Amino acid sequence: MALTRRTFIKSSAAAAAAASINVSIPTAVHGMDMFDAEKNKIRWDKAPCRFCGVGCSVLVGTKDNRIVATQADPKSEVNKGINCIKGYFLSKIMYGKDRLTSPLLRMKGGKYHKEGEFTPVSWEKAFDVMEEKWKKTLKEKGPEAIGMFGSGQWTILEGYAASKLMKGGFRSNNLDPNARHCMASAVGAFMRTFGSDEPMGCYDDLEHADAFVLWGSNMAEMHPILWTRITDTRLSKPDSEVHVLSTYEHRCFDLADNGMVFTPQTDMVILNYIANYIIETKSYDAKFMLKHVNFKTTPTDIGYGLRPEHALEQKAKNAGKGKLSKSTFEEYAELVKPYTLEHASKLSSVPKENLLRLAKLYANPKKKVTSLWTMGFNQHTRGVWTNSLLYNIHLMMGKISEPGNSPFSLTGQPSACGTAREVGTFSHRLPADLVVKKKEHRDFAEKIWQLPEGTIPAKPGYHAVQHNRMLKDSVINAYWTLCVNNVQAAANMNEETLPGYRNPDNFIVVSDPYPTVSAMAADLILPTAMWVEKEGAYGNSERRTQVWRQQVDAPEGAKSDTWQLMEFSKRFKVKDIWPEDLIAKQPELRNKTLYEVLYKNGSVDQFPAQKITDAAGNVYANDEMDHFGFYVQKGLFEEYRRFGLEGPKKGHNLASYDHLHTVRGLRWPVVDGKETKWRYREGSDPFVPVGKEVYFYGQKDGRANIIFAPYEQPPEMPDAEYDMWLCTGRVIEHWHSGTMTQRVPELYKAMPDAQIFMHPDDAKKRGFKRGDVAKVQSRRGEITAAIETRGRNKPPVGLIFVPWFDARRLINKVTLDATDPLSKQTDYKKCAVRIVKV
Amino acid sequence: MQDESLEEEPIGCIVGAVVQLKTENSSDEVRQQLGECEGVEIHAEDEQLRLVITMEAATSKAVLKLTEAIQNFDGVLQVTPVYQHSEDHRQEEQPGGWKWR
Repeated sequence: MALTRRTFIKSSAAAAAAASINVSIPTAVHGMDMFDAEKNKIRWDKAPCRFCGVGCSVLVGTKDNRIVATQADPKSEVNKGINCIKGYFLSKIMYGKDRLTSPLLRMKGGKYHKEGEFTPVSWEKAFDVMEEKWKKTLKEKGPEAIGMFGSGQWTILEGYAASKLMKGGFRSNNLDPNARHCMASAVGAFMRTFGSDEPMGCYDDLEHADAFVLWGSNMAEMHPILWTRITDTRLSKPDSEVHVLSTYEHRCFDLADNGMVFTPQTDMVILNYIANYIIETKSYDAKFMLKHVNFKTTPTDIGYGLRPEHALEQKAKNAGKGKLSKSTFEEYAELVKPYTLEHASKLSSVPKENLLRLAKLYANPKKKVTSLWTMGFNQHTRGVWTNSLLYNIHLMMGKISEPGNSPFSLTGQPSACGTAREVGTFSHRLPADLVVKKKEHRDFAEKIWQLPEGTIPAKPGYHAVQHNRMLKDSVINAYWTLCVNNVQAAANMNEETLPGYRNPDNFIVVSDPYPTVSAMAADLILPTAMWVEKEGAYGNSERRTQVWRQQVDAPEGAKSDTWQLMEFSKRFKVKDIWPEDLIAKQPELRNKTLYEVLYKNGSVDQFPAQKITDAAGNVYANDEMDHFGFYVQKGLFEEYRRFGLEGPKKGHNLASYDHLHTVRGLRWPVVDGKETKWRYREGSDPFVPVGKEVYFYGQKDGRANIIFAPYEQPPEMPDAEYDMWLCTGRVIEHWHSGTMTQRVPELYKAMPDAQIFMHPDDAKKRGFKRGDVAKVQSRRGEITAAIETRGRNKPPVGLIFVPWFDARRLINKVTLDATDPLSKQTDYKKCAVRIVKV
Repeated sequence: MQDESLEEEPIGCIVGAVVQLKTENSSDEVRQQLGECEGVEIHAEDEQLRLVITMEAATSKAVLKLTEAIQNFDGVLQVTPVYQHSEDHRQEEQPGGWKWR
């Protein structure tokens, strides 16, 4: 048989697939030997996948400055040589036909005009107009009138550069990431319970556990690789079991031993029932609780994060309050007592036997349980409370911080952890768990940044949902969003987001590779380099930091966010934007630009330009290094790393940038080059004092908090007028708002239009057949879409599910912008709607 | 697929994947179903009921369809792609889209 290119590629494909399950195929090896020359034409290098928070490593195959192939990385501990179908199409996301290559400014009569048409302009012209708007806003209203919206898809370096520019340069805390929409409740609970953000466990738990419980997470579609690992454990380990809880049936139910569909918001009831069961049966680990736990309560009736004038906020006794009070085990036992099996079953609609089976699992000291959750817990008006209610159960049983016993908060974005949370690109945070309101923390950040005392404002800035409200109210006037499509992603877009973007008082800049809904609503669009068109670093759900080299050139005209942020900073001098009393503390800064103060500061620019090569001697480009004349990414990372090494919050040590280039990522804290798999556990975490066994060192006394919170109703529930629940979310074929995946024709065709997933009885009752077009209406807006009664998602009677990727059927016109008052994260999972004929 | 005749043709899309079967009993049936799919070849099987396959088609769209079809076989629990080679560079204009005005 003649060996052709086709047989060679096919052999490679078969060999890679076989290798992923430790099977060898002799013929494939033969094919590869024969075609060594062909193989050498493709340059292979590692990079984390661009899509979700799992953080799979892929091998990127480049030929003639273009990505032609991708392959699951067999050396990756995360995906162990397998991919999901999103990874399949990674090589295509950069090559959409409508890729932006020139800044586009709304112009009329040769000048910027809010109502003008998008017109290509040079980067110089784009930054000129931007500079003028920023300077005018800073002069007239001060730093609180500028804002920036970032992303959990930003690289760590981009997030760090942005945080410095906003907080240390412009002196505005109005920086928030889209991670506010996805992880803020998880963060809130981590801080309240453990005093330190991010999970104690890691993906190794997926092989160690005896049982898995999914709380509001459709892992089969959203985290397919982790789901594959769970599937493998379930199929290979005797007596292992999978429990799935959700407000509708989804693909994970295929593997479930105990599938439970509950009424929205009653997850809180179920969690308190399990706690009650553990106490009543005296199954708890008394020794663990005595040594490692404090009991607390939280204020109740806290409102729903709506505008203050909203009737529900007026009615709330303790709107927005979250200060914890001391409590005892006895008080806690009393508080959970009303949550009986009968009560839980009645409110949740889950049969008693299913709830009992779940409670028995948690209460069995011999069963190692890993609980997993994503947006079901986090996009929840009581998200912080609910996250903690689950920790309560794990803490009572001592099922935490050891292999297989793991409450595990999964992230949705590739660097929600690495960038948004660890760099702290939130309006109240600084790197490594520091916060702007603590003077000690600001002092430390100012020391690392070599800025005078008092540069960073003490007051937290506006959070994501407030950004849109403040734009609408003309409080923020100069606004830059990068690496995010927030017009499509934010709830209640008709009443809040769009009016803010189109407000004549405001100048809106959107940096994106593609003309997204947000870009089209902006005044200036900046074309952006994406993924491996630049060097970068991401941090995944299990605290793993991964770096990659630039693999290909960005299209001519497109620039990375780092380039954009640093280049824009050159246009501002300290003397023009800082007050005199601050300049007086460090007068040598007076005539410097923000670029010189923040990036050419002797620290970020400490590593000279160098040739980037891999172990095989392949040479890689680095556009930022070429442009700025120093190793930008390494300098940003090494300065940022000092926050973890020297900062006041311990246990945030990252590996060095050079070390990370040689491995498939490492899980922090990394001490002496060694990663940490289980935090807070002696022997695994180097920060646990000898003899303590377990030590939650994020809290002063090393004890985690068991925090009681009651069930409280959501702000809007179905009634006579709007008689159904609406739940929104993602589908496997599309990543978030579909900016990237909608541009891959194959993915677009697999799932072209968002549908209304509905129970057949609900459709029948309203006179609809499958495929009929219907309107989904709420008190805020409506969309039109086709009804699907036989799809992969099977809602119960009374609930519909609509995915949000479709830019032509923007479900966020319908959703409610209610948030958890503590985390400020929007609840996209429940509001009241009705379904009517078109 | 005859390799010789395709030498001059564009490569299109080639994917290597692992198919996890539900039970031992489903092996023969799934093997037969896979055999009927154009462009699909079985390369190996292990004791844990996993098949190594390749899928070939002119576009990645067609391979995605194949993947979905196999995923929906009664005897299949999961299809896991591992390797993807694509020389199908066509990017079609997306219909629809959304504009501010």
